[in-house]
Amino acid sequence: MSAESQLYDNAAARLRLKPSWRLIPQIDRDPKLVADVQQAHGRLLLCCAVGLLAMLFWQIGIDFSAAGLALACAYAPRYRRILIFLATLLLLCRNGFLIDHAFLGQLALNEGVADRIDQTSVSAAMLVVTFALFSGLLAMQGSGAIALRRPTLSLLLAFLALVVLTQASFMAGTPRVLLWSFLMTFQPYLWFLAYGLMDAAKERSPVWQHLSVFHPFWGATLTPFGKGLSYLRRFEAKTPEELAVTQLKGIKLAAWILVLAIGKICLDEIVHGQLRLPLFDDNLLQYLAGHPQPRLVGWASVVVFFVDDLLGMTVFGGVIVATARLAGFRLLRNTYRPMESATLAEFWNRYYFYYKELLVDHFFYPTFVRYFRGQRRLRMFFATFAAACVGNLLFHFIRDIHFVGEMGLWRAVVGEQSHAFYTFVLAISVGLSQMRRAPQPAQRGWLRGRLLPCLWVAGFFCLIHIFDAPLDREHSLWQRAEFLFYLLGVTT
Amino acid sequence: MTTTERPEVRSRMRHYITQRLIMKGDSSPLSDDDLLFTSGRLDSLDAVELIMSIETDYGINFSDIGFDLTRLDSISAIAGLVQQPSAEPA
Repeated sequence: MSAESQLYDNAAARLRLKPSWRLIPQIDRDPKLVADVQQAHGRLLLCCAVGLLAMLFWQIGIDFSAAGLALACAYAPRYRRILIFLATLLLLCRNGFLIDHAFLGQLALNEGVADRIDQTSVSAAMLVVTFALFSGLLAMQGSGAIALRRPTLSLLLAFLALVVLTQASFMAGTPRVLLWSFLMTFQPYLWFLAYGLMDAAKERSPVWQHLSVFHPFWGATLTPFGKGLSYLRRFEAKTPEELAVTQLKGIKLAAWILVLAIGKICLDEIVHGQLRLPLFDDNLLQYLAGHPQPRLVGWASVVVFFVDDLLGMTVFGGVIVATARLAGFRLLRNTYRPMESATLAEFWNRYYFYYKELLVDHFFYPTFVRYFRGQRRLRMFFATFAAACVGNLLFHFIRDIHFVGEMGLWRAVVGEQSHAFYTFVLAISVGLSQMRRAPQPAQRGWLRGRLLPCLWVAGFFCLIHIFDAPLDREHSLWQRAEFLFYLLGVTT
Repeated sequence: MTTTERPEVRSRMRHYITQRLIMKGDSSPLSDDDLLFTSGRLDSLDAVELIMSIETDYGINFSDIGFDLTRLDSISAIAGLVQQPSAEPA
């Protein structure tokens, strides 16, 4: 069985629930279609289908235009690497290399140096410095430098040390603005560099090829979708037939995502437009302002928020993966039937696959192979805790690093309390879930083996979201706990 | 601890991995070069079980040799890892 099967869908395989019809036909399994797509007329048809999908996505506010670049990369295999590099560069240029210029502009004003600093020139200089640094580090990897033996740890320590340095009084004025400019230029690529350094330690590749997948053109957040170069190579179509199958899978996924995106719009319109159910964030704010909605409305908003979040994540990740597949990379889906998860660990795997992989690759495995090697359960639990709590917390702290510049380090750290609680509960729960192992559904029947565990998992993540959303630094742990107590009927 | 011949390593690993796949409801055929983790057939939890099994059976310390999941990504890769001199215990 091959990559596309996503066999972490083992539960479904056990149940043998194979529908006799499909909303989206399995075009990738039709030998005639696969053969046709390798011919010129088939490719033309595929391009038309991509164009049609891009137009339909555009109608509902989703940008699928990178699919055009993906097709260009796919059909020029000899030049695929350089085309990926150029496509990535093009989109990064369009997006200002993902630098938060508004934050830097405000910082320069606050420091009283806005009139002395040309923000555009500083950003350009920092880009040169940052990418020269990336290139140097990637080229040096494997040289035996102590800091590069554990690249993630070194990167995180260096980044956080510089963040602390921004708070020093002697950095006031221009030095602080320059340091923040460097950090804000570096930050969007931190995890890409971490994967790049891991890859570079294993096999030598030209530095520009590593850089070509730093925020690749098919899309990403701070989380790399497709990890680094070596992972992508494993999923790259090697033959015309593999390319055809991969692209058909991309079309199939894009069509399914379109259906889900329309479903999400309809859900939002019905629930929030017609039924006027407040958004979860509004519900929380109204409660904190002393105007709580009825409990039933509160619960409904929590559940709808959870469903909406699942749909949003599926659509967001699906567009990225579909685009990568059209470029010839048969990536696994980011979100895959999360509601079928029978354990907390399984949900985490199915909800945001590439983020979970990031935490596993950079926190779980390094911890697991080093600590408590003689104590099986403690070893597993500790590694899970390192990933789900420490890694999760660090990732979000770095993602939202602008809060440090806006609020100061201490307030930004204290403001993390609710999210720290969220990651702590999540880590303990997932750790226990990992240690228990999933019971065999076949032995327990559909109700006890499937439905109830799935409902428990969904209920857990529904509730824990209260401490995670909205992910700001304004609402304290206690305020969110009060809201939960209110929903549970503990307080009025 | 002894250095196991490659066919025996492969045979033991195939048996071990097949058992894990069956536990997960995956009874599809498994060849020595099939991808296990990057294909999604096995997950990180299976990886840790596999690591512990290899550590116990072959005395390999992954923190010494540098952990890399791709070295466990197929039966052939595991056999190669277990057989390589740097992975064998002193």
